Amino acid sequence: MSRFRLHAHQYAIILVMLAAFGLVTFLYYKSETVDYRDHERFVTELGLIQAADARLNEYVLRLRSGTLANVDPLNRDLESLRLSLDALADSPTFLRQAGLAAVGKQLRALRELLKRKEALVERFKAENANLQTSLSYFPVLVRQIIERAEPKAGASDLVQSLYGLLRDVLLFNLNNEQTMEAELYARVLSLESHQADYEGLVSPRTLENALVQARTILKIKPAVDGLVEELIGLPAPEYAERLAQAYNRYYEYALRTTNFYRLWLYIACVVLLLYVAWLIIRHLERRVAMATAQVEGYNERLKRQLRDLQAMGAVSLTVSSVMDVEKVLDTIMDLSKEVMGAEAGSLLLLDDTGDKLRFHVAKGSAADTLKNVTVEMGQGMVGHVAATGRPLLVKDAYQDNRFDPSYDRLSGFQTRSMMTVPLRAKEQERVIGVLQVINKRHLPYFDEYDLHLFESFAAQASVALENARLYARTKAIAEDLRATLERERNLTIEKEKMGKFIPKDVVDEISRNREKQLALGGRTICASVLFSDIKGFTRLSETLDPHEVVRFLNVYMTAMTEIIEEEGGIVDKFIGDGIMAVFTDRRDRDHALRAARAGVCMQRKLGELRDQWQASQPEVCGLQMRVGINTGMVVAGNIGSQTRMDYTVVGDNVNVASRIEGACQPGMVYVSAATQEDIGDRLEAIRMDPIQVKNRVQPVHIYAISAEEGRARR
Amino acid sequence: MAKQTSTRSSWAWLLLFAVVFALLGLSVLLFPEPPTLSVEEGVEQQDVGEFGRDRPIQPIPPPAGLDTEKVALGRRLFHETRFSADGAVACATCHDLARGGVDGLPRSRGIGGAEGEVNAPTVFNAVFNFKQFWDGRADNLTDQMEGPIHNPKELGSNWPDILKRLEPDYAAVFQRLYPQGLSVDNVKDAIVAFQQSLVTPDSSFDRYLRGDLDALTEKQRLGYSRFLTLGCIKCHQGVGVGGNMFQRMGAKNDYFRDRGSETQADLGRFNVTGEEFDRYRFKVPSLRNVALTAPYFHDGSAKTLEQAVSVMARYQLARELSDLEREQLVAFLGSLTGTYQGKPL
Repeated sequence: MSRFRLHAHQYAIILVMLAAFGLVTFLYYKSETVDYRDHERFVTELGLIQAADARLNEYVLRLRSGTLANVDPLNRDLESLRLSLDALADSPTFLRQAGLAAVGKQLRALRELLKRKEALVERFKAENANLQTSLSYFPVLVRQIIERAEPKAGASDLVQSLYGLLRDVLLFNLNNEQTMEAELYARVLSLESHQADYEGLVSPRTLENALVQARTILKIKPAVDGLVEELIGLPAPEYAERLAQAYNRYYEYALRTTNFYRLWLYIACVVLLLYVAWLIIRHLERRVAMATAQVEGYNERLKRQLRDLQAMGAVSLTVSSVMDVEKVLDTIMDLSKEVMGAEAGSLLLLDDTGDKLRFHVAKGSAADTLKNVTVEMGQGMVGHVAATGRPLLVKDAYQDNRFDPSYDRLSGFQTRSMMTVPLRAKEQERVIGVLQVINKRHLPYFDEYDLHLFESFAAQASVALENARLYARTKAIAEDLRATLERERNLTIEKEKMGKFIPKDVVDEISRNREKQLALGGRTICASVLFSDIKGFTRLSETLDPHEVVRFLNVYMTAMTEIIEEEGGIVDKFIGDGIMAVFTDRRDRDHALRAARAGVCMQRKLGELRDQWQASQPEVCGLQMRVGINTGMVVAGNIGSQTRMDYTVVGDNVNVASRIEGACQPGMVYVSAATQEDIGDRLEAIRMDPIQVKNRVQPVHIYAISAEEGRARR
Repeated sequence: MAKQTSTRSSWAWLLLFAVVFALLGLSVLLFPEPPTLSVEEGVEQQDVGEFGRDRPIQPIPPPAGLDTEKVALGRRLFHETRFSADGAVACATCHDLARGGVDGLPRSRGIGGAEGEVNAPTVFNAVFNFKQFWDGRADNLTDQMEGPIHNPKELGSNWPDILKRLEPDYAAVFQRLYPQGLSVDNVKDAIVAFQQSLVTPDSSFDRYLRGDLDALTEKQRLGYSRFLTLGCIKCHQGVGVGGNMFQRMGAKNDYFRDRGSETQADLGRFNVTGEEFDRYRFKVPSLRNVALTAPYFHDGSAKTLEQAVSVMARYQLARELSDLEREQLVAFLGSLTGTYQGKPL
């Protein structure tokens, strides 16, 4: 609805428009009053009257001279005159009252005149006809009378008189001698009175007829002449001219009036058009101006936003990349000062006690003096903001009673406008410090927009402080976590090893105790320990490419480990190219047999491997392995330092196994007497020379188990 | 928002242009029409041949440009007795088309057998008369009608009564032919239309005038010659062979003195103008079909053509006619009898 509500000036425009249209309409109506068709008609009819009148005169003259055969043309012209006069009586209305009166007066005069003319024409037609008949018959008749009378006696008198009369009457007809008329009448009368005398010469009737013709001529000829003269003399053209003049006067007046109105109509139209054009142009100009202002506003905002964005970006970058909180806060302060266009800026943090604010960062000319200065909570502008937790925008510091000018005195700085915002810890609304910029450069004070941006900076600073705090905490936690994880990893390995040669309940116990960091005291168990070693491998590895060495070892170790595990042994550890494996009891006491069988299989496997390497790696095809096995009581337990623990077996029997292996012939499997005893006759064994072992007084009896034979015996 | 507005305004402009062009298209309806063939153009101009306009007598042009329905209506009205006060007399009572447009009486009888003042002139070719009535008191046929209607000795009626009497039978046909329906002007118009059709072209003499020299007998030709030389032509001339001027009855000899018992009607045009000059002056009657319209003169005093010719010669020309001359003249006058609707009268 409010869109359609008009302002006062719009009402005024509408009113002016309506008035202008009204005026234009009025002027148009007034300028169209002259009906040109009516004018044409009037002028044409007037012309017709003039033409018909002129023609009428011509016809009258021709009729008089006898060159017009009939009077129909005259009647037609008279009819035409009547019709034209009727048409003129219906005069154009644009002459208006005065004009109609003037024209009507002239028209009436013309009508009267023409009426008179018509009456005269009628008379003329009749009299002229009468005259013409007499004029044509009188000579004929006179001639007849004379022709008949002449032969008779005493006719000369009559003949003389008639001749004379005829001649003089015809002369009279030709001339305009008025004087002859009376004399001629007298002669007609004289002839009439002598009618009886001439009875023998001419019949009285015939003579009388002749005299009637003469009298007719004498009487009517002057009348006809008079009629012609009057007819021709009638001032019809003048009257028509006067009518035309009267008409033209008022017609021109009407035209002038019309032109007057038309001129003003044109002027009014032009003014109206100009006004409308002006309205349109003004409207467009306003819109353009509005659009321009809008665009400029957008531009300004975009510029500012870009600047702020860049500043924010820089702050964010700093916050995220530099973990040194001091450096971050310093950068934020620098950027704040630059972006806000401030002369000075400072960051104050709340003490641990929570009642004092300390200048943490200060920028500007007075920065050095303010370093580490403390401010009481609630004191001055910063104290106030810290206490209330609300940002403050102060246009003139000295007009604000919250402002404490003592710091100006201290620093020699002249504070004008200032902007102060609180720093808050992220999760709780607790105020942890205050951020402040002072004196807007080139401008009297900071605005709301600056405040908004400044709060964003404050938020970033808070985040930086928060991040620093969190980082410190996270670092400590991570250290703890690392140690824990390490312990966990070792425990898993031990648990797996223990599971192999310690009953499950023991392992579980260890696992439980492990949580309590209980060191295993170890247990004594019966087990067979297998040692293997490749002869001359150390020498070979010096000549071989290290990669080749590693590849060979991997293949070799994998194959051996597979065999050991197949026989239910546990690879306790790899010692260089050597392997230490432990076989413990399962359901029956056959670990010695399984160990011996594993040794035999290992030898056989190495033989197969040698065959495979024959083509690809001739360097290693000459390799041979030694295997020694001993069976006896050993101590099993977690052995090692606090951080590097290993679940393994130790004891004299383990050493003996290693010695047996050292004494073993390459490609053979040597076992101790204890082992041989356990194996019994399940494998064929050959007794070998006993060997001396460290820490043992008695030599150790050893047996060799042939791989082939062992296999054959199975 | 701005885009939407501009789209809407562009639609408005499109609509405006569409409307303007539609109006321009409609303006074709105002295209000027070609001129229609006027009645005048439709009628073939009268061909007077080598006997141009200088001939004293012009042949009658055939009637043209008349509305046949109005003519038919006029004919019905012409024979309508409801025009008279007593419902017994119609126009045709005294102007019997079968008898040359006259009743053959010296003076006609109107309502109640009342005898009129003058001899009834024929209605044939009345349209060519420059004025109507013997004394020329009406300028045209429309005005002429008022005379017999109001004359107590003729129809003795008035328009309101006539319209009332005509209403039942004529309202419909008038409504059809005239926008204003039955009215005085329209009744007159219909009758005038009919009278305009009452022309008698193609008489022997007209054919002669058009170049058919054999259309007249020897006697008639001689009669025409006499007509010219005796001076009859000076008054009886034009298309109507008369009917285009006034002339004094007794131009050269006093007719009324010889006839005696002068009446008011004998004063002629004097009764109209009051001018002494107009005493005894009458409209020269048309001689078309004159052989059929006996008796003659305003007083109906001449019973035969011979008689009338003799009277004319004596009083208008002061001449004595031989019997031969008279015979020839009468023979010539007989050649002026024309045709009506293609049939000889």
